[in-house]
Parts: sequence; C-alpha cells; structure tokens
Amino acid sequence: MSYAARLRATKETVRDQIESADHRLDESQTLILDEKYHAGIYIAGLAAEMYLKTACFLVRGAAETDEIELLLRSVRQGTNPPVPHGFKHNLLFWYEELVYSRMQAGLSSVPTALKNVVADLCADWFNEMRYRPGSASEQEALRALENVEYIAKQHPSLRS
Amino acid sequence: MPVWERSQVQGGPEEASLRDELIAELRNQKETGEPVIIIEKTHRAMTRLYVVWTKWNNIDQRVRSGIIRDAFTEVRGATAADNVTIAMGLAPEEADRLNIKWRVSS
Repeated sequence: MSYAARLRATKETVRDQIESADHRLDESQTLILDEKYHAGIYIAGLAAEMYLKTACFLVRGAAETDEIELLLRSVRQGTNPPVPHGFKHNLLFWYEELVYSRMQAGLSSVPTALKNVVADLCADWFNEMRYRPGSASEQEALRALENVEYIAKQHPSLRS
Repeated sequence: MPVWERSQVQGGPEEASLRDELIAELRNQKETGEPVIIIEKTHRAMTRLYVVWTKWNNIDQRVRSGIIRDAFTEVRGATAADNVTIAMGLAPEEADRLNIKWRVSS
C-alpha cells in the first residue's frame, strides 16, 4: 500500500494533529542542526499552526478524538465574514480564533509573551514559503524554532 | 540533546526613546511622515496594531511588539490594550512585502 494510502487509513483527529505538531517540531530541530534553515523554519511554522489550531478546537469543546475535517467545516460555516483564503494554514487566523474562543469560554487571556511570539512568527513564516528557494540564516531559524518551542510549551495551558 | 546558544531578546538603548516617540504620535498624530500607526479592528472586535517605521531596522520583532504594546497601554489604557491580539512593528519595505496597506495611496 502506498504511503499516502497508509496515512489516510484513518480520519485525522485532534490528537493526531497534536502528535504531528510534536513530530514536526522535532524534525525542525533536526533540520536546523543540519543547517537546513529555510526548511527548518517552514516545518516549525507548521507545528505552530497545529498547536494553535488544536488549542482553539479544544477550548471550543472538541474532544481529542474528534475529526479535524468536521471541525474545520464548522469553522468555515460559522465564521462571519467568511474565513480568509487559506485559513487552514493561517497562523494569525488560528491565533486570533484561539484568543476569541478563550474569551468566549470565560478563560484567562493569553500571555503577553505569546502575543509577541506570534507577531514574531507572523513576520518570519508564511505557508507559501515552501515554494521559495530561500536561504534563511541560522539566527532566523533559531528564533523561529525558539518561538514554536514556546508555543509548544504553552499548549497545555492554552487548550484549557 | 542538541545545545544551542541563543542571545537574549533585549531592547537597545533607543528602546525608551522609540516608546516615547510612539506615545507622542498616538496622542497627537501627524498628518504625514513616520511612524504610521494602523489600528485595525477584526471581525471579532479585536484590535491589530501595525506600526510602520524606518526606525525599526535592526530591532528584534519581539522588542518592537513590546514597545508598541507599552505605548498603546500608556495612551489607551489597559482594557484597550488587552483587546490587542497582535502588535507588529515593520520597516516600510517589510510592510510592503507583507502586504500591509499603510501608504496613503494604497
């Protein structure tokens, strides 16, 4: 069976995305250690996207076993005005949805450090960067990694 | 486990001066010139702050964010500042490349 077919054997859940975020973050560290800075930043950003997105879903009452596709559909249908193009990979969108969802749920606001980390990441990462050859510096890669590591560390407190 | 050396995120000596300039601009906005302050309301009634300023060059993005938040809190108060989701400081070229609409003609 092909790799894609194996991956698609089960529906993707919230728990899968949290585990994937941990794996991507680990892979980002490996890439950066190997001086693949641009790829390291890209992969780290994907991890950040998944941490923010899953925290948002869990704050809204989703279970870890819930299917991501169904949750995305509900976001697509329940957001007014319509969600921005490419919202699935939009860091700012998921971060702001998380802030809003926490507010709606009566939970504490996110730490200021997270706000600054997200601003920093938004200045360094965009989903389409995968189409650019790119040549980031070690410093840029380490900064992005540090930011995503911070988000990963905060994930348990952001989701509840 | 890999070991990486990282520099601390700190503001330079001009940090206080930039914050003061930003406070002055928020209190009394000039017709032209920099910094250009964009206060954007989101569909969730939250606030995004973008400050386009040549003086940001060589200052870490997280420090820029801190300066903007401090200045905004000083002028608009803590409640308004709590509503700010993102505060980004961008040099003009960065703002253009990130598609931030900040020029009068844009």
